[in-house]
Amino acid sequence: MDERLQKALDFSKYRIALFNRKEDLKIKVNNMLIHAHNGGIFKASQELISFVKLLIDAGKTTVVLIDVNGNPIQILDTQVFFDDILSKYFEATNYYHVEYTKIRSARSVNSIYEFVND
Amino acid sequence: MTEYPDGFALPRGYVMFAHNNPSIDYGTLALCNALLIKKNLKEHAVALITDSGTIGWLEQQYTDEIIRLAFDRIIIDEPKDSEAGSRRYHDTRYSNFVDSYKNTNRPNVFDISPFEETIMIDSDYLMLDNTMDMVWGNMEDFMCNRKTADLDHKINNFGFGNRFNDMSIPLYWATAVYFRKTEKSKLIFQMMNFVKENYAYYQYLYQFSHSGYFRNDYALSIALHLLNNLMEYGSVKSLPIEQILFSLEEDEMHAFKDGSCVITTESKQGDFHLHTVSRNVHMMNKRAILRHSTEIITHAIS
Repeated sequence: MDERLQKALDFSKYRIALFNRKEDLKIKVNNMLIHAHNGGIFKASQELISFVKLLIDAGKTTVVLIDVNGNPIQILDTQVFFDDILSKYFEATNYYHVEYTKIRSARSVNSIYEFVND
Repeated sequence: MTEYPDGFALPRGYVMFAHNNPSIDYGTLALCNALLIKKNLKEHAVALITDSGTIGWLEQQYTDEIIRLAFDRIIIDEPKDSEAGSRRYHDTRYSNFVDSYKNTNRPNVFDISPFEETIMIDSDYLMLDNTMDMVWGNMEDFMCNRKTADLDHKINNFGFGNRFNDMSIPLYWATAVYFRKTEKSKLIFQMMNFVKENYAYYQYLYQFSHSGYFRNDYALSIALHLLNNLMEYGSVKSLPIEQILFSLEEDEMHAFKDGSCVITTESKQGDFHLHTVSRNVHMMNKRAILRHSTEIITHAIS
């Protein structure tokens, strides 16, 4: 096979592998952000974290929040809830950063798979 | 509803069905998965619903200690021979075979399950992470998934955007179903049974091609559509992880290492992609799991 074609195909495989790993990582991080509380399901998004902080600052201890399924969920202690989602957020984003850095530094298909579990 | 003796019923747990055929050892699949549940999840009671032949074979293969470790409850529910169908199984894209499919008693799970809250999963839906722990105590009485993706991130593997056909109803997957023992859940499973009893009629009505065996996914989807007053959306919510990760029958598992499956996909002949999977994965190539059952069991009990 022509050397240029071989190089192009190798690069193409590398690109696909890279894409797959990045997508796997995104899904994994997204899953890590899911938080179950009092029968509801929440995503520890920046928006939710900010809103709950606003509620705490406004002196609200017990509130009702709408979960991802549209159900009203009573939050009995906003501070506990805030701590939980913030912890989830940091855990997920730190993991994302560490794994993403490894992927970015990988320069071959083998090295992409050497480092990362999805 | 099955009346169990005092102390038999439990508050929360997983239910798996396993009915062996001459080609696939569903009992071993369920055992591997049950041990993964014990390893990875906080709530990890498991009930196996099986038949006397499958459990007899399982007892020949494994020690009593392993079986007791895997399953908290074993319930015998013999499937009716008259209901069994046959289907083609694939073991990578280079091998396939036809054998019987007896997994037709799933709609009875509401009556049979010994749990107040149940997650019913396929025995080949490998529980590799702890995300299912988020399901328990949910406000919803009944949850199942509609979205799927394969390991190469394709989301429409089964055609028609996960519908029966391009003009039909949404397809829900019975791969993982959460339910609490309430009237709503009871109605859904009763309706599934009704669809099963009148399968040919509903096949004609909903225009799906008959696979040669009873499809739990189809019965569930039709039941949900009927109970939703023939409307498309709104009746059933997704499990917290809304997308089921599929590994297709064409894929091969090369190793099970440190709690992860090393899998190659081959959507086109010779076009291999390697994946290391540590999320819950529906590994449709059952024989690939069985080839690595020893590694899975060794990991799970370590």
